[in-house]
Amino acid sequence: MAIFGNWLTWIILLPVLGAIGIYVVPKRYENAARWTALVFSAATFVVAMGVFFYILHARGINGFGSLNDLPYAINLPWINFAAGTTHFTVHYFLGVDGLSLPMVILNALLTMLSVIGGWKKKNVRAYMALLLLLEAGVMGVFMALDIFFFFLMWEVELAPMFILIGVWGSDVVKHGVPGRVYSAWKFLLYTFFGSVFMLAGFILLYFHAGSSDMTVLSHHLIGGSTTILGVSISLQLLTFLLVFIAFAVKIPMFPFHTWLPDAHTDAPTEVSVLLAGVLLKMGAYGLIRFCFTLFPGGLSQFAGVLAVLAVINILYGAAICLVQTDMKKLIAYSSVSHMGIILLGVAAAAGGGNGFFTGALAGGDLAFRQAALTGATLQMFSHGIITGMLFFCVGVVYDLAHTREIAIFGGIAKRMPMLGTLFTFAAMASLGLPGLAGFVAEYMVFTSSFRVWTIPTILAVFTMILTAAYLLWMIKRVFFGTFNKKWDWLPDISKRELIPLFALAGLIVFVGIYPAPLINVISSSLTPIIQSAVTFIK
Amino acid sequence: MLYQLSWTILFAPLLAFAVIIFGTRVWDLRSRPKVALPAAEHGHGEHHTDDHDTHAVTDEHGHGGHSEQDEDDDPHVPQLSAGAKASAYAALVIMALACIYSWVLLFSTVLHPADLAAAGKEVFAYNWLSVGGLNYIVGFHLDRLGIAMMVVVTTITFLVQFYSQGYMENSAGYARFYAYLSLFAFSMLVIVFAENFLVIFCGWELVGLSSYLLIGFWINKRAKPEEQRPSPASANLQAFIMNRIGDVGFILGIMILFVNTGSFDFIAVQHGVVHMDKTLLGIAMILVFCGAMGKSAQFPLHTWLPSAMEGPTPVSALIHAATMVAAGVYMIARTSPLFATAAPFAWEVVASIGAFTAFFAATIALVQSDFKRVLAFSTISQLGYMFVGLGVAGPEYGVGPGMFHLFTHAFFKALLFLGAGSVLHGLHHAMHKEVQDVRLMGGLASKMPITAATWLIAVLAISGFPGFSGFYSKEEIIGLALEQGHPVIYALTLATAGLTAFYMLRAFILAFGGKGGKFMGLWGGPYRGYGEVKESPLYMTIPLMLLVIPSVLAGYWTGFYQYVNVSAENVANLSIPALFQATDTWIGVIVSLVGLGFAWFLYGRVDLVKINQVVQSNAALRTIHRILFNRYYVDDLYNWIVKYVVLGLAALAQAFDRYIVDGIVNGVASGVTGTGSGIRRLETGRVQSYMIGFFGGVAVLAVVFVVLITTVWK
Repeated sequence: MAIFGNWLTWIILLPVLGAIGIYVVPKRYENAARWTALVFSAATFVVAMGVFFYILHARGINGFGSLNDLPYAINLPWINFAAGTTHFTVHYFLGVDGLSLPMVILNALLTMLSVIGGWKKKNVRAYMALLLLLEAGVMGVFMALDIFFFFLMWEVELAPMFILIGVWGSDVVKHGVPGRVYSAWKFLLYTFFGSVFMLAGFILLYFHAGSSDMTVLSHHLIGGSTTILGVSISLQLLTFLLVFIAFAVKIPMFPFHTWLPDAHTDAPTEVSVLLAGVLLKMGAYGLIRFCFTLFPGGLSQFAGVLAVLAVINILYGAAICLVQTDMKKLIAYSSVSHMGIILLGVAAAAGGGNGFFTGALAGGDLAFRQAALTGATLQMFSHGIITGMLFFCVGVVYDLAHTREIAIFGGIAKRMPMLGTLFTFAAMASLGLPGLAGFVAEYMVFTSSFRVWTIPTILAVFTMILTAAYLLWMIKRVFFGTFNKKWDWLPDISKRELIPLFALAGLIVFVGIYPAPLINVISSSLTPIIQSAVTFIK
Repeated sequence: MLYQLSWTILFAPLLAFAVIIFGTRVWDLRSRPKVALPAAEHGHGEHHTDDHDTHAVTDEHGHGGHSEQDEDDDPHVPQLSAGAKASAYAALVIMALACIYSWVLLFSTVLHPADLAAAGKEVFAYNWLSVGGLNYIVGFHLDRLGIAMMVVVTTITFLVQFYSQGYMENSAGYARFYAYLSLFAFSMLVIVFAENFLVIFCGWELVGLSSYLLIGFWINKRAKPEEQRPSPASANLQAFIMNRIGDVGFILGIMILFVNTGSFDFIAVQHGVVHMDKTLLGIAMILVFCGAMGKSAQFPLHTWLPSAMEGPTPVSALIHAATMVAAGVYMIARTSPLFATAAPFAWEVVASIGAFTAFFAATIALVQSDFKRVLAFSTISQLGYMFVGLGVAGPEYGVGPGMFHLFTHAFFKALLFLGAGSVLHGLHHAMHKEVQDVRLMGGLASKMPITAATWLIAVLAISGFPGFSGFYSKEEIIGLALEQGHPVIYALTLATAGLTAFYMLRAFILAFGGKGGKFMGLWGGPYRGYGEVKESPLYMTIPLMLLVIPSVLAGYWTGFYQYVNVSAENVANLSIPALFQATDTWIGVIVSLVGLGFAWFLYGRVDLVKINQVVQSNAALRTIHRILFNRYYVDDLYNWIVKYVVLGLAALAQAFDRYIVDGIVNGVASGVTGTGSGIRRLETGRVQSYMIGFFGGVAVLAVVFVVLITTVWK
């Protein structure tokens, strides 16, 4: 079978097998379940890295290709259905390039670290199995290059997430039900709400272009216009908007973001890590992979609005962070703010701009657009590792103190010096300290989008102050200042909990100091996208 | 080769940081006795045994029961472990080598100017990233301006590290302290070596980090509202955020330059901006100057620096007086070709803000009673002078005057702070609590003669007393302001010179002299505190004595003007004979002498209590005193803005989010169910209503779906 001869299949299959394996292990051997999960998630990581090194070896650091030149892929017919004149085909089409491979690796890494972080969870067998299933679903999203296959994976990922939040979440009552139930439903329904529009967009696209294959679609961009209920609209914009709603919910973009703080506060630590680390990135990935590639015209028309929404995301999210009383909710809103930077980068790459700076330069606007989009993609990666680290840190505090209320702590770095150091480190990374990963993406997006969307960028830069204020103020109230005697008994972070934190910290430093390799991988795949899109930008 | 290898100076402190953090500090922590937790009954057992001395004496003075607080304020170990000591030695040895190397560079460039090209030399660079023709390069280069700054940074860092062996004796965070100092030295050198705006911004933020870590070094220390002193944890937060406000301006300025020139490199930008609109360039440079205002604590971003005094005193000397706060001046000097190209208002803004801040801070310093805070405001004031020096110099003098004042100021201000640290150290040992209020000092000169003598020299240097280094650098700036046609700036800087002389000698007499002392109250006198004050150990006094040398002699190196400003040949005007011949020099000297004389006359002859009585009995004086003592209420204004405006808006956004955005979501979800009263719906539980809402919603969407498919796909 050709399908099993491809490593990409195994990247999805290994976690699934791991999940099954965990259920096969008898209930009383909890340790066996843990180790199974660890082994399978590590194996997935190894395979993902193997694919990376295979491509690196075969084509070099700048050779991570694009849709038309996939460095590693598998494409097999899957569903072939014909009824009358209607012909419906779906392909089992997996592929990775410089845009998706970093996300695949990030997902594999964070899942592996989550398994380590969730070692002591209650009902650990089911927890581990669901983490692995979640990983499989997300892997599918990042690798599927057939729009219907992508849609399927997009929905598959929901089920494990729904159960993880709904069962292991917090019991604090919200709107009359336990928070975990409320938030799980909210997460599920909100995503479904978006998915329906996405499906409508995809079907529209399919029947117009006659294919669900991304490589074909990227060559045959949808065109023309149509009338709905008397309003004329270009098909590019219509399909863009339909598909974009799903991604906007997932990113999450204002005003579709309110599910995120709820989901984060009620989810267990590792689920928050994965939620912020990779699930949000599905939206950003979709925005670049599908909207940018397939509907550049629509995106370009919408870019002005997108830039405004990005600024709202950035500043509004940051402002709300200032008054949060719950550490996790604060970090959740900070995600809203940081994901706005991705939106700003995309808006800058696709938009016409304010037109203040038009002087000819080497490369002209195109270079700045490319830098903005590359920065946005890098932000996906760096936000994943930084916010993952922040959530792990909060998780350590929560597991010991059983509360995340900022106000009732005070000076606990006295008892938890190691955690205090790492938490401060993660906060510094998140607020964009140079030498750490967050700065690279922020700096790239701001400096380059300034050329295109000058006024929105001027406003967005003020987030530097707010981000520093809310993160360091939280750190100060929790870890520094007058020691609250109540926490005299707190032990410092355990060795097991240090593993994920050190792994992420190392990665954050590496990306911050030497981002060139990652940037080369990413930009080799983004260059073709932006070059084909740039003709649509007015 | 000598120059090419200078990147080792840059990375040496980073090496020290790594060695301490991953090596000797771990060793230090491992060698400590295990803390018995969570058996809470014996929670503090080991601390109690450690603190016998403190206990005994604090009880004696009726401060019993505060041992826990002292422990939190400044945790101690009975004895430094080998790991802790090794940390200090690692930092010291590495910094000593870096220091020697930088002096070698200085001498070799002075003696053989041709060896190092005027434009400098790239010593280390790698491609950070490049996208579509835009290059983001991490590059470090060496030129004379950099060498001058490097000498200051490495020398003072070394002396401060040496000094800290005494000041930080038995501190529980001894190794951590040295690690942070090394990290700071590295960050500062990144700024010094920076070849482009990207790197200088990185260094800029990294010194912010080290400053943050060092101000907050005593993590659990409490605030002292009765002395208007914040806790270190609040002070470092304030410092970081205040700097970030400036940095927003900085990065906006960088962005304007970047989008117009496509590069971050200083040289490339310099070539690129000639085609730029002069007004836009002027705006860009003012935005860049905003960064300098934050880092160098210029009005209105100055309030963090007095708060930053909550850090250990060696830190105040190194970071918040001699080097980091001067980074703003250095950065403006570095970018001065861009300022020169821009519309003239750019330099005017720099000079005006500098002059105003110099005067503004000097007036506040007149009445402060906190020893370190006087010095903090004097630093702000002197930094203002440096900006005036840069702003008024014009193309023929270039960055010379401003940088020269930076150079001399670094030494005597470090001396002042280290001397203050010596006093505080002595008083802490005498009174067994932290004392920074000059009202509790007095007459210390006879008890701490070395500290007092060195301090007096530094006071004369900062006051511009003829013959001392400050005289040469400061009078030059004041004179230039007049010569270049800035009468208002001249008046302000001249007045500031008098104020400076007054408040510095006032601080000296309040601490070291007083009525009844020798030389009309200048030396010795009644001591207003309690306990036996002794001179500090040699670890601390040796750096003081060493710093006296440059505090006096640095001013005689007028070759400095030529050194940092190779393009300008017009430095004959700045020579010492020219300085002595100019009338305005002597006007400045007279003003300073009046200030000194007035302070001596007042504080040397009259009791402090009596002065206070006079001030309090006169309504006008009382009001002025109160306004100045409360620093024009700028801090209170900022606190009010943060509390009511910023947090108010944030609370508004939060309410909007909860009740409008999320309210609509929840409303739609339950509204779709359509039937039933609100109360009943609530009672049935949200899950069911969500289920119904979900299916209802999907049904609606399905209709939309069908409409779309049928209208669009034919």
